[in-house]
Amino acid sequence: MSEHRHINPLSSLDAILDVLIPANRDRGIPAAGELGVAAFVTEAAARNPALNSALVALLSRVGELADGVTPHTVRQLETELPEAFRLLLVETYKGYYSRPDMRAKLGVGSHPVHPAGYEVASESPELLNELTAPVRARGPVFRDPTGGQT
Amino acid sequence: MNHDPVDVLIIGAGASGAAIAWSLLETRMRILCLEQGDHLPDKDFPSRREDYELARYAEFSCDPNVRGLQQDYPINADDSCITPVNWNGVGGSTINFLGHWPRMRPSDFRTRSLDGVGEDWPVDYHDLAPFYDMNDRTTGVSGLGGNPAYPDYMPPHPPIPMGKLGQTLARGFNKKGWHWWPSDVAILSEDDDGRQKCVNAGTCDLGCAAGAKGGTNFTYWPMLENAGVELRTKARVREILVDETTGFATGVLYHGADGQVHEQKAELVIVACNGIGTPRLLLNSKSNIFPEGLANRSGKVGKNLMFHPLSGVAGVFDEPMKGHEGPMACSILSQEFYESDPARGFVRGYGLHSGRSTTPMTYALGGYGIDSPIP
Repeated sequence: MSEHRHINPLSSLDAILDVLIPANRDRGIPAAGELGVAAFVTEAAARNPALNSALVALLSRVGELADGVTPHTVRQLETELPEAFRLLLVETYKGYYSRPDMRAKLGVGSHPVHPAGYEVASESPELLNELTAPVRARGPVFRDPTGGQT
Repeated sequence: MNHDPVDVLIIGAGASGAAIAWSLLETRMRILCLEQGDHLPDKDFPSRREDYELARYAEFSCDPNVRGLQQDYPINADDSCITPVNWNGVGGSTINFLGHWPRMRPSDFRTRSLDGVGEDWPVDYHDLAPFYDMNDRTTGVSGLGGNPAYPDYMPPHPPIPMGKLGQTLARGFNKKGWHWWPSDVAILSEDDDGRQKCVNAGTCDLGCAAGAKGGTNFTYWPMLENAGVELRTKARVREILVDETTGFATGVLYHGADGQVHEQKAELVIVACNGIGTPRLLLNSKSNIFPEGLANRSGKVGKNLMFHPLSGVAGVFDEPMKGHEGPMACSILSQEFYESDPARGFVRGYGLHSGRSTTPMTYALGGYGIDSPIP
């Protein structure tokens, strides 16, 4: 990405990520660039040539746009370079939502799900009986060509 | 390594290979299973990591073309609308299956007689029912008896929790007047035979680190190895050898963990490599008397594969359903539209199988098994 003389690639990437997943201050939810997802994306790009090419193309195009990174220009990137944009979007979602701290902010446990898992109560026999009553009331709903004979 | 001839050579340590080995145990024959993958060590279950979800799109993808692990082989699905789902290793695809465990129904055994399609089976539901019961006990199946969609039977363990999502959907189905029932699942709702009950981790596709899901790596194979069945891993069979006079299989050539090709002789060779691996191996087994591969006089081997296709619809509720808490794909199953209905203009039917929700990352990426991020 060193050929982009007129832009700072990392700050541009941060800015794009902030548009892709913006902050919600009321809920204490940071934007993707602000959270440092760019590092996740660039590390992934180092292992994935297609993603790396996509990043180069997207950042190069940003450098050509007079307005820099705005919601409008990000939409323009999505229209002009759809596959590159899709690859970036996938990696952004992975980098952002796989973080334990972000899972916790969104109502999912931050812990590895084994061994602790989650406590989920079994339905009581009374509740199961109540819920299935209308289904049982209809009687059998299958065809048995043997008439039930072995 | 001992390459003495064996009585029975099974290729593949998945569900079928395990069941066949189990059914032959009492014969006291020497049984060897060659498996191209390996055991999944406890430390390698992704659900023990904080970033467990990322494995779903990398080394633990259900698609071997994405995983690209050493034990995988590429599958060209360019001309197919269906992506293959499998796992290569001890347990086979029961490692990453989701534990959904519905029985076939009586009409499924008589599709030719009842609906004029397919072929009738030489056995019927009632012939098979005792074996369903037997397998359900070994696998550890949970469910609720009395389902009016089947002749009466009782799963060996009580149902797993439906959770808020399942209860909500059940009430919705009741409002429509449609059949539904808590899913039969190969997932333990209570501790059983040294296996831990489900901890509701929601990561069934990433292998069940608790051992609650009835993968044959946790059910049949420990029992089989204790009983003397030899399981040789990292052993990829290249071709089946035949006696060119009799045409009978005599053994196999396989690539071993040492990277060398070995010959293993056997009286009986059983191929249990799933719908893709089995024809692949048969087609690779060419000889002077079988120039088109084994069992392929018809030229149909490797063609007309019928998968169990699955398509999904996602819904969004206006309040949290906590759907990530619980077995990811098993909650309730509606068979309202299972049997043929002439009014629909086609024969046979389908099931409406309710999974649960996934975590935010998988949801943002389009849902389980879908590579289509939300714009």
